[in-house]
Amino acid sequence: MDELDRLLAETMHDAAGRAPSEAGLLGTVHDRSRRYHRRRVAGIAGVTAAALLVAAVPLVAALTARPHAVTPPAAPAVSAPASPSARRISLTDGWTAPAFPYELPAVAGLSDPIASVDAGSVSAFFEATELRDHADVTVTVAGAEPAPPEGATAETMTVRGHTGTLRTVDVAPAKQLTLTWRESAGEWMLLATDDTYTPEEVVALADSLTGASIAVLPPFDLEFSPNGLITDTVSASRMTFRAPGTSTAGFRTVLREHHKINNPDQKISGYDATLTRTAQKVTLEVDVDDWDAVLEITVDDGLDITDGDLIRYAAGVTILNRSDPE
Amino acid sequence: MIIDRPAAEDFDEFVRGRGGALLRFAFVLSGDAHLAEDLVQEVLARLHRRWDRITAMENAEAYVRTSIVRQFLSWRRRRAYREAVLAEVPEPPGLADPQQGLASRDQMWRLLRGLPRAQRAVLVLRFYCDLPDDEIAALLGCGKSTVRSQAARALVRMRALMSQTGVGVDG
Repeated sequence: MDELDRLLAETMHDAAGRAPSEAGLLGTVHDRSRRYHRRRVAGIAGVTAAALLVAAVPLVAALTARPHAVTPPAAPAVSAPASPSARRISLTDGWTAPAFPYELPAVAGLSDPIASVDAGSVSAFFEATELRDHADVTVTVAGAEPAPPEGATAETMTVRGHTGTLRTVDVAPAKQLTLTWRESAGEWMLLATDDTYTPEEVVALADSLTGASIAVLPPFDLEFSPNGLITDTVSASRMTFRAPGTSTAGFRTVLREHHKINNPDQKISGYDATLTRTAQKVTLEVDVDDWDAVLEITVDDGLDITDGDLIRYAAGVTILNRSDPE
Repeated sequence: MIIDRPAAEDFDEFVRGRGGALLRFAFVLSGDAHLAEDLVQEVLARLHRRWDRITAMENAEAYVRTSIVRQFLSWRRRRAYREAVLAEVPEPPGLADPQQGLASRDQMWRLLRGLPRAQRAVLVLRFYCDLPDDEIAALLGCGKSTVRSQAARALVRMRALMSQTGVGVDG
């Protein structure tokens, strides 16, 4: 060890004595762990189990302090003509939740499923409530074969009478297992868990799936939804829609962490809002400051919506307690 | 959420017993008290629910330290750590200063902030944790040659910075 090495070692050990104290660390870690757990469940599945109860009681309304107090634009928004090929969007009453079409048999150690939609694929998340014999299980129904995870080894298995592929990614602390199979024409299935289960148990889980209808629970209640568009993604912070035959969600409603919105030019249910039109998109940002969030509604240029309908849509959004801004 | 009681107790015991050492390691690694707390809290919170799996490993603390290093290297969005602006290097101490050794360490500490994260991590693992290059390579998920080249570049840079600022070393 030369002089520089020695000085570096001394410097680091000397500095270590000035490190922050560990007092309160355990409590802070527990708080953070609980927060991540809530977000994880909400993020994967859109809602928490607690929210299932919340849904049955009066919800905190953000934008729909009925009767609606929608103020028309005080001044013309920055305006840009819609693309000639843009699909005209009108609004329809309410919103129909997609449903996950399977369920696992109820067993001690796995929670009831919570359904979500991501890029058009519907998933159900079964959270492990006992971690010695069970692990979290996510089952996804997709229209196309799911892409295999990177670095996975694969083996062929028979699943529900079909040929399936079990892939294993060797990561710590637990190997990740994914089982994919084609359930029927146009319906691919993916079951993801970890090596708490043996490969045979993973196949047995898939074999035990039975028909069901588990509705996706959204982060917002929508009084209106875009007519003719398909629900693309529903998570704890967003609801997005796409036109049939497209792969891009051109109509997005996203709850974001609070930030200052520029030059408010609207009032929607008493909240400041900014409507901005460009050649590429129209965006309506609503400063829901009592939620410490901004509700952002964006419609891309492939879709065409009037300012009035966009504001009517925004005014019909009720932010639910289960939401979590991103 | 339900965590097996023994695993939960193990986790609490680990944090009480080793939390201070982890914070010292994270502080030396990051050079910033707030970032060190954030790193340790983040990693422990994320490992909490899988603690039974971690403790089943040969060396749980080594896994936690590895997670802290990798979190540090990937946490580009965090504002607290930035490579030091070299124009702000400290003035050299007076030659007759009896506190020169201490001053040198203070200046060295500040100069370490001038290193890219990966180079700093290699130096911390080598000189604070006393790890051999093959273990550093395994921890960082890179080859031994990468560790050696990162360390060599870091030491060359440190010598240059020290020469620039007048912090004297013989080696």
